[in-house]
Amino acid sequence: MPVLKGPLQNGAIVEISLGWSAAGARDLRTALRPVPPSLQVSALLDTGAEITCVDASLIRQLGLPLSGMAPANMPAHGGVTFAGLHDVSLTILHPSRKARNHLTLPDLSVLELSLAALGYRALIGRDTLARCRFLYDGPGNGFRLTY
Amino acid sequence: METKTPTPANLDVAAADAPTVQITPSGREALKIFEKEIATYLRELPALLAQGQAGRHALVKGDAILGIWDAQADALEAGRERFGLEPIFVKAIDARDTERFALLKRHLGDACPY
Repeated sequence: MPVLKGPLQNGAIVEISLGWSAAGARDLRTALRPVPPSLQVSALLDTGAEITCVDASLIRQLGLPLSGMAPANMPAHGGVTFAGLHDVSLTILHPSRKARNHLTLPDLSVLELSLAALGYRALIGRDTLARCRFLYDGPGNGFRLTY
Repeated sequence: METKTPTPANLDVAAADAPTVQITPSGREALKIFEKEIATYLRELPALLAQGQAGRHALVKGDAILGIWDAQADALEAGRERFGLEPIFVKAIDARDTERFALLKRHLGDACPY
């Protein structure tokens, strides 16, 4: 099982790659439309977020269609937040850069929020963390994600 | 039996205890686009919960629930296969939604489309 370890820098921060979902990219290719390249950004592992969230600017940049609407308990965002959902492909990038060590979710619904004020472009919520073991080691100033 | 008469003072306490509701621009757009689908989901939610479908994922179009899957990815895949690049409505079946959408309805008042 891959293990991703890192230092705590204002929380447990990982690099992710975000792009069109596998199903959406297939539909784009069928329609002979180009698939926008994936974006790499930093994301906070956030056990307080019910759903993985992505900053609205990234959604716009990728031109992602809506795939629903959901209420989510987002303490960091102030109570119950209703926002649009978009299906994406999300990969948590392992520092080794070996593809077999990455965690890839090819079809995942993410909530579109304005996160810039929080200082993050994405929050990895419990829907994604449910597939992992996550150890937050405050005294050791590090974290470990196993998947 | 003691009954409490609402007074401005205890109404204020109740309002202060109510969770804060926020709706983002994408949430407002989704509310317009998926007006029918949200109404369908909320109408069917009690029956879905009674059938033990909580935690599964429903694909809703207009007045119909087209399918229910264990994995969100399968519901998204089915939605994209059927509707291509159009907006699709995939919703996790959640017992808390009755209360949460009621909160949203109170928050939006007459502007609420469902």
